[in-house]
Amino acid sequence: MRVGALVLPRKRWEPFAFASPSLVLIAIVIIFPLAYSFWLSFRNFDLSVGPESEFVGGANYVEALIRDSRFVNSIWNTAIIIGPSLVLELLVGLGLALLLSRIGRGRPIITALLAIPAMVSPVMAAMAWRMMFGVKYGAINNLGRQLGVIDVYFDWFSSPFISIVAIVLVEVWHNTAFMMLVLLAGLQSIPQELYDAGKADGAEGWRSFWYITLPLLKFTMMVGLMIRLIDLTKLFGLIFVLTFGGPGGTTETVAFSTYLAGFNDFRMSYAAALSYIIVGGVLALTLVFMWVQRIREMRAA
Amino acid sequence: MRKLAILAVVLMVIALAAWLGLPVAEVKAARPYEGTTIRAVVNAEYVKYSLSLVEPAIYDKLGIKVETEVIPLDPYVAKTLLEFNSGKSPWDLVMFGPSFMPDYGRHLEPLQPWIEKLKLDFAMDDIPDVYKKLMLRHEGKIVSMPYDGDVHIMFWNKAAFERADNKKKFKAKHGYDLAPPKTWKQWDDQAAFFHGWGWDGTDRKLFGAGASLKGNNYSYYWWRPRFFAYGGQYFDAGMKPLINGPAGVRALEEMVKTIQYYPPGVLLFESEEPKTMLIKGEVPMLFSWTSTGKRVGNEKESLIIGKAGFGIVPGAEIDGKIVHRPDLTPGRSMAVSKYSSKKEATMKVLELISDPEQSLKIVMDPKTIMDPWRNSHFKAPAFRKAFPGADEYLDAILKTFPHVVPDPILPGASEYMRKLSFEITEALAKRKSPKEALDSAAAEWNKVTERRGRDKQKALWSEKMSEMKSVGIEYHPDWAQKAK
Repeated sequence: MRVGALVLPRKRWEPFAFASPSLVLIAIVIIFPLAYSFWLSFRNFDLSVGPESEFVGGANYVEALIRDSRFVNSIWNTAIIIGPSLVLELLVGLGLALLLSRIGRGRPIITALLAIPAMVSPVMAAMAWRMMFGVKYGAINNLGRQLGVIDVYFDWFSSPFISIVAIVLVEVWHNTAFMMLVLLAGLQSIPQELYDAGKADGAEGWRSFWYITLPLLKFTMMVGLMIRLIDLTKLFGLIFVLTFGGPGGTTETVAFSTYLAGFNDFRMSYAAALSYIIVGGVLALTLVFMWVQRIREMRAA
Repeated sequence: MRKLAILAVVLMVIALAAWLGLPVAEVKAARPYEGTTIRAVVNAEYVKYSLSLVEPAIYDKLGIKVETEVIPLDPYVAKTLLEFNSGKSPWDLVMFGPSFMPDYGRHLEPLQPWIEKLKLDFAMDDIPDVYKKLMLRHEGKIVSMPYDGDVHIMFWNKAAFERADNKKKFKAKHGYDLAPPKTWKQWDDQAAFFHGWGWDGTDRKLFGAGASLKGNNYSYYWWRPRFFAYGGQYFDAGMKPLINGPAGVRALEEMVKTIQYYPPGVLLFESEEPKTMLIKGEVPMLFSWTSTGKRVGNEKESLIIGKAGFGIVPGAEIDGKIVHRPDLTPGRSMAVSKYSSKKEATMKVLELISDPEQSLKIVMDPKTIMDPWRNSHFKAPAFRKAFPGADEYLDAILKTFPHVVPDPILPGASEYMRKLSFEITEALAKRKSPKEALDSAAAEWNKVTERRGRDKQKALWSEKMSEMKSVGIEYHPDWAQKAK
């Protein structure tokens, strides 16, 4: 056998050679941490015990899903925050996108202004809102008093229900702009001819929206929702600053719970297992989402 | 003549050389580590600021420069332990909470060999017993020096307690004289009495008392002085949690009843919010960290200078005697990293920053939030006259020392405390009954103990229990019933 036969033709290896710096970088900053944390999730590494750790199999996963009622509760808390946040972001985002698509002059400026909240970091947004929700000196309570609706001493974070309402409000304020931009792009990609044809057939206003805009925007909506869903499962900064998971554990999300396990209890392996449970959950939800979408498309076809 | 002239020139040259050379030699002797820079790690900007107060002295006397890194409080322990567990440390001087000594201790350099080698003087006789016995040692060896003496004392606004109208109304309602509370029963009565009206003679809506009840350990520190005053203890000798016994349940039930008299938002309050309310005259009383006293005396922000009272945190009346069990909270200590390559220079810095004179600068400055910890701090004339009432304030801290209760200083102390704090806030938020919450906390404590090895924890707890016994803290199952 000739040695030359083992050598790949230039055309085969050349693309890999060009891509190799990026591939190496990806391996170092993405694949290695993922693989290491997955390996860690099967051990019992605890920072306060020391660098030594043992293989414990799936014990961390079993503990998280069966014995750790606080983590299980945090899954529900996350779902309770995600549900209304997604619905409101979609509806308000769609409303704003439709309004913007009808504006001729000044649209870029108005769009840029409306997109500002999404550009603010979650921690900064949460700090600003924490001050606005403040008792006595907070802008919201003072406005509420002027309107005769609430007292300046109204505590937005004393009851579980109101705390969740406050978090959802801030979340919607912060991220609706993203949904608005995605949907605006979707709206602009719908050909004007379809509306003109619809108009000729008598479809205007509500009917045009229902029979033309909405069906053609569905895919964009799904993409937007999926991105927001993935992002919301990582909800952390807002919770850390606004409520620290409280009152009690009402607003502890899965990401916050994972942070507490790793950085407050020092259980790095357990925190790694919780992270993989979250990844698994998001992956499952995304697959279900895509599957439902595909079935709908097939039925429509 | 010529010889004389030569001699005179030679003498002048020698004199000139001596004049030029001596200061250089003197400076060299005064700055033996010139050119050395050490790295310190602390958990807040105000701690970095506190070090900056003594940095000129460190440079003048030792020639050492200090570079300080700040890691925020919340991830501090995890991030520093992560570095230490790699067997290296980017820092020479390390700040840590002594409650986490079992987690940090093995990474710290014992002081004794260096005390002998470098003839260091840490003025150990000037340190109160409570710190010497409970906070400085790891496996019997001294590895750190106090930096921030954290205990809780009580503060009150004299306007609330001395107004004739308030006294009259209170006596009519409760049948005893209005005075700063000595027991938790009196605290609760007074919080209810003061809440919702202008007890300062104005028509403002004011609050019954201040508190910090956030779930990341604050609520635990507000539950603990009641729990121990009612005879509680963390564990029995076999590591069975005692927190869900009658003492714990009574303490939490009382807190759940009294929370309505605290300011709105109290479930998210950390240390500074209620302090601000106290110094702005919005709450009549608060028990908190001793640094509150310096804010009370800071004329730039305080409205109650000269009108504030200072005393020991309330307790429980047991068989006619009042038992006080105020918190000894983690505080801050400074130590030298075992992995430092500049141990000698860092030891000298540790000696200097712990020195009575230098440490006084740190604890006197209101912006540092560092609390006094040396006996000499309490006697320092400058500190005792620093603001009106400063002498009363310092005496209140001294009076508190013999009664303080430390954290459960065990491996995983943070986890034990955080699980309990979480369950306490569950009860305060009325998501669980006090008994249910404490039962859950006890179950969580058992899980932590099992995971860390019951026998290992039991052995360490046995040592800690003896230390606590040596300062008079024991389990009294009958006190929860007896306490008035």
